Amino acid sequence: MMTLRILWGKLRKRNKADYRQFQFSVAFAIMLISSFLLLICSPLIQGAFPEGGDSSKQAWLIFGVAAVGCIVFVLYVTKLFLRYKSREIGIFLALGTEKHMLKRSLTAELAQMTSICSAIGIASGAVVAFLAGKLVEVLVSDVYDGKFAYTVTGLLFSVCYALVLFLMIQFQAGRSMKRTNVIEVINEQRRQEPMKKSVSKAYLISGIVLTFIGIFCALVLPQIIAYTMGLFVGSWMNAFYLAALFGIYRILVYAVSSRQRGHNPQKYYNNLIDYGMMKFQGVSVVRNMLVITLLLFGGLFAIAYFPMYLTSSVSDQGYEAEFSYRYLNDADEPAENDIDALANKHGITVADYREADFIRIFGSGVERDADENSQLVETYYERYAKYDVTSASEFRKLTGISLDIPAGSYYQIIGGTSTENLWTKYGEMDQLYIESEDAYLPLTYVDTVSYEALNISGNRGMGDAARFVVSDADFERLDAGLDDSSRETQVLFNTEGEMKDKIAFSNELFREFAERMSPSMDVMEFYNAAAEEREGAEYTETFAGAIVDPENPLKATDWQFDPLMTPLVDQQNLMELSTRLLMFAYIFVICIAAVGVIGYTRSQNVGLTNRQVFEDIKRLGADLNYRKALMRRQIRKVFVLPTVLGVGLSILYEMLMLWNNDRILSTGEIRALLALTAVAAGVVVYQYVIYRMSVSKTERLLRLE
Amino acid sequence: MLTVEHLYKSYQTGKTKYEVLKDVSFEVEEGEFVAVMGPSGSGKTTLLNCISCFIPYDKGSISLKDVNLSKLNEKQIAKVRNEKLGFVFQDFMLLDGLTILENVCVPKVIRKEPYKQMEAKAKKLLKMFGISEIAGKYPAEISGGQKQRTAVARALMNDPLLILADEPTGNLDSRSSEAVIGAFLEAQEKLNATTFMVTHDSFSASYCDRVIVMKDGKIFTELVRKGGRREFLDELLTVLRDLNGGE
Ligand SMILES: Nc1ncnc2c1ncn2[C@@H]1O[C@H](COP(=O)(O)OP(=O)(O)O)[C@@H](O)[C@H]1O
Ligand SMILES: [Mg+2]
Repeated sequence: MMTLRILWGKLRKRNKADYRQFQFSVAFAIMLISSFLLLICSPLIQGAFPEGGDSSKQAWLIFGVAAVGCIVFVLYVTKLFLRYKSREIGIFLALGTEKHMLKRSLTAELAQMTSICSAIGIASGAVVAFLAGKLVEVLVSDVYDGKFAYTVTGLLFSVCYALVLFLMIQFQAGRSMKRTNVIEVINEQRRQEPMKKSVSKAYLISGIVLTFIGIFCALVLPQIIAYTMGLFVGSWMNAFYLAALFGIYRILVYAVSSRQRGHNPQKYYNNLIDYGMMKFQGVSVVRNMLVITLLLFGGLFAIAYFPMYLTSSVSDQGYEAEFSYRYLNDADEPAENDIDALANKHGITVADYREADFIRIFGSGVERDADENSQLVETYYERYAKYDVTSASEFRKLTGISLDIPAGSYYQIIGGTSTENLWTKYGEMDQLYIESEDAYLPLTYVDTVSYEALNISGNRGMGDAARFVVSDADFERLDAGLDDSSRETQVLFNTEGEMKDKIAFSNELFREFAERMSPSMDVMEFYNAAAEEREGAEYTETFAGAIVDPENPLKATDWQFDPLMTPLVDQQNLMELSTRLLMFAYIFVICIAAVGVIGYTRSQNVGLTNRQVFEDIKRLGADLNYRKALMRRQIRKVFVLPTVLGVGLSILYEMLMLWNNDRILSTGEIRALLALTAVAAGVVVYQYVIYRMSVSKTERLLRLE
Repeated sequence: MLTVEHLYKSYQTGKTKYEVLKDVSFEVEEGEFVAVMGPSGSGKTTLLNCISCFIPYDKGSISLKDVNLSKLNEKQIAKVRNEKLGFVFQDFMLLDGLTILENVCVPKVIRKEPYKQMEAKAKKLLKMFGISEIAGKYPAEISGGQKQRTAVARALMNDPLLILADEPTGNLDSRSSEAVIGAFLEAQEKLNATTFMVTHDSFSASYCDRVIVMKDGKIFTELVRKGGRREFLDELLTVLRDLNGGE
């Protein structure tokens, strides 16, 4: 046992590079994951995203992707390491060393290495988390007081993750030791995987076609079908991504194994040695190329969120008032003087306070739905929804906009950025119910009037949540005899003061507002009294009872009267933006690092398995330049095509996606694409650097200096 | 043709220096089939590697048809290896991913030569060594003897001045060995090829015109075949017995 360990130690000295590669990869993976965990568990992030919110769910989802990614990465590196090791193990076995002794040495060695690397990984992860945490602190310091701090949970999770990796590595080592056949073990290192087929041009073309058709069908076609035929094809179209994947695979297979004398036999002969070298590594080379392509795509896909978020967050700011809320008059909500007092308490002042009367009454409309054949069905209802209606003069009080509305006609209030779409059209209401007369008032549609701050609910003033302006005379008729639960007050105002004070004010106002709501306000966002009439108890069960926590406006809320408080929106946007960007940056780093390691190790493998070939052709008179060029061509295979495919496809995909969402490329989107292209260019440079490193490393391995 | 004069070669291992070749001089004439024999460790492979410029040597000169090989740079050496020398090794060294025909083409492929003559020449050589029918097979699919005959064909691809072979029959059974030696003889007879072969197999050596026997880095003796192969084999066996007995 003792002697075996000494021998083992000597061998380690000779295989330093293999050991270093394994150790680095394990430590790197653990560093990434533990820094992520320490950050996500810190009070900084936890305070910003209360449990159950969308953001927190998304953060954990991204974490899941990263964690799985790192596990796959470590599995791959372990497999490589065990392959290096297996030759030594085979020789020991052949010399009669007992297998369980070897197994014990191997697992002990791996256990020791993994533990040390885990400790280093977690320690450096803590440093990275600290730096990233401080960065977030600075980014959000205007709106949020949270401070980065280490937590026991974060540390525990990190240790658990390291433990999972530890067990997996042990399991893998145990499994690799199960192979009994000595010769097989010795040959493991140069195990050959020949490409079975030699493929033709048609194979390549089918690959390209499949890739494009796959992406097109999965991404663009559903939209086109929906727009032109009103058919909704559903998410099974995503299966076409598999076709794209298969297409990419075919392109790669072609690049590696196409060898036909074909039209240019001279070229075929000039590249003969390249073909010969690739032949037996084809399968694993293609596999590696595919993984590199997908990782590059994934990394760029993640980083694409940067420019997209940065441009989209700007376009959301367009409210004419900082605060906007409405309440039914049967509730005892704060009045103007209460608001002033609350503002004073927080050291800010209220400006431009204005309020106006709305009524909630039944009116007609068109419901659109997809039937079981995915066909669009339109149904007209006399009592389609209980709408919000105000008068021209009340509307002027709120907005300063004068509308000339003849009796018997109306305007529809829409959000600044809303457009008609498949589901909702403007001006479809043609009558409103007059309660006092038990009759309908026919109305004709004039036009829309745009006011962002008056369309703050989820459906943005469309469909059954539409808000209308009628003439003063009509309003009076409609209003007569309504009780307070059908009368509504709409409030708009701004504030002046420090951002942090505004946030504190908003939080308190939110609590007051939510706590003082009336029972008739206690409904979910998409609740519609007319639909309740039609559908009965089942509907009530689904939509009654708002989800709102007065103590925490940031928590996921589902409430029709959810107020707009832009300081809170800004706060949340900024926090979400910075944390989300940070997380996407993590994904990017993980993918790109994995690409680097895989490309680098693959290149060395190409060198190692072909050592004999290089020696041989040297004797046959291939000079140094020839051999260097040959080696570079082999290594380039691993780099060029996957990089071109990964980068090209991700830009193409992003472009299609941005175009597809509204069928135009806005300047913001073009700028986002340019930014993505710049990042992609950076990735190309990175790949080039890794390629150079691989070349010089392989040159040293093959003594081609 | 090949002239080796006062060749010295030593290996430095740590502080100690091992003299492996000590003042080796000999000549090989055009069209000659010469074998080098000697106990393991006597410096045969080292000598061959010096001739093919694979390793540098300390002193002496090696010239091939009046060209002094020690004066050449890397590119020129590669050219000499490709055009003037042919190699056959103990462990075949064929490229697994290429067919037999393609493997034979490799020396010309390296020079990016026109493929038509290349193919024609390769086919001719395969035919000459009786391996035409396996032209489309891969190395893993043929026998050791066939592999080695492929290697001989490959060595002859550029009509070299000299074929260097290191234990070409070392891994073969006697029948395959005979076929490989037959290939060398065929090349000598039909192409007037010159062959310099390292071997420890007296049976193979007995086919040669001349045998150089090495011991401890020096030429121990030289035997020239005058009569039939059988007598020469007996002569060789006697010398080798003396060589071992003398230790
Ligand atoms: N690269 C080397 N480094 C040090 N010593 C070597 C090296 N190659 C061969 N030798 C030594 O040179 C001597 C001759 O080796 P070699 O020419 O291979 O003998 P042969 O082919 O006759 O069996 C041997 O003692 C061997 O140990
Ligand atoms: Mg030898």
